[in-house]
Amino acid sequence: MASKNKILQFLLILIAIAFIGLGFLRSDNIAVLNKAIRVCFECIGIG
Amino acid sequence: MVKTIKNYKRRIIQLVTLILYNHNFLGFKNSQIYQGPLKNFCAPGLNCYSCPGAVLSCPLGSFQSFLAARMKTSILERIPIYVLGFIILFGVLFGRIVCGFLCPFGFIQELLYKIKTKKLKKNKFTRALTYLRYIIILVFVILIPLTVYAPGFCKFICPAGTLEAGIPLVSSVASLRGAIGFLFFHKVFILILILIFSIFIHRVFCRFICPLGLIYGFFNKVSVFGIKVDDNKCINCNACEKFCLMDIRKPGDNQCINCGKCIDICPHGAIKWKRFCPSENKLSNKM
Repeated sequence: MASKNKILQFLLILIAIAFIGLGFLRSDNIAVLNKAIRVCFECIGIG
Repeated sequence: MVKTIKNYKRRIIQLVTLILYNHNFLGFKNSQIYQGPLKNFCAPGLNCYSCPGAVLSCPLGSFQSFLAARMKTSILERIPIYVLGFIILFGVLFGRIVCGFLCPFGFIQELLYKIKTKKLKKNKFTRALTYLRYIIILVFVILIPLTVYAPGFCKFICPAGTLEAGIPLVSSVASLRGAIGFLFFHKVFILILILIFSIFIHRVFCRFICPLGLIYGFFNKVSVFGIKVDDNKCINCNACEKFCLMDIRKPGDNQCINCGKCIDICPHGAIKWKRFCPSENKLSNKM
């Protein structure tokens, strides 16, 4: 049971790193940055 | 052996997290948000990226902004894999430790709950209300962004955005003050409601509304850090379940925020941290 959990943890960490890496390749981080460096009107209740 | 992280240590971690997420102090002075490279990355907890102090991106806001992106031509481009990567990584490492230790809005609710007054204890109704989060994530976090191209949760619900960004920015920037309308007052109303309820109901937002907590809850069983129950020692006395203020059935389940308070309560020492302490089995083997 414990070893199954460790395998699952390892796989999920791999998937997470792969997703972040793919996101970087797709320039998703730039999209996140562009959204976050401007005031989000929806978040503050205006847009 | 230190058996548990005492609650005051948790408070310090929560306070440090609040400061780490929001250490762009000049932003509060100048009413301008941080525009540096750290905003390429998502914070583990709910923290509005439009807060003048915020230096990291909100995972939930970023997630919705991808789904709501009009410019993206295909649905594949709208899948927020980068943000999902962060959410999965934080989830598998910490599970809902993020809620218990690393969420500024959870911290604020806990402080409000410290106000001495009559409290509404958990019951069957509050347990049923936890399912509301499934509707909120489906409608406001997924369907509204996909169909109406708007971050539904941020726009209509998120009290963290109103508290950390809306009120500070609107109160200090004249142009924003001139633009407020029904939506702003609706969001302020939601915020006030949640803050008032937080005095009487423990972590009302986390238990019944927060989609991020719901997602992290799915990782609680497999997370690297967190608490777990030793089934060999547990006699199902339910002392932990009765003591806990969250709607848990068992420590470490998807409602558990891994605060660790129940570790000292268990009369049989069946609850422990997964990583922080060596298990007694290992100790006895060494002896």
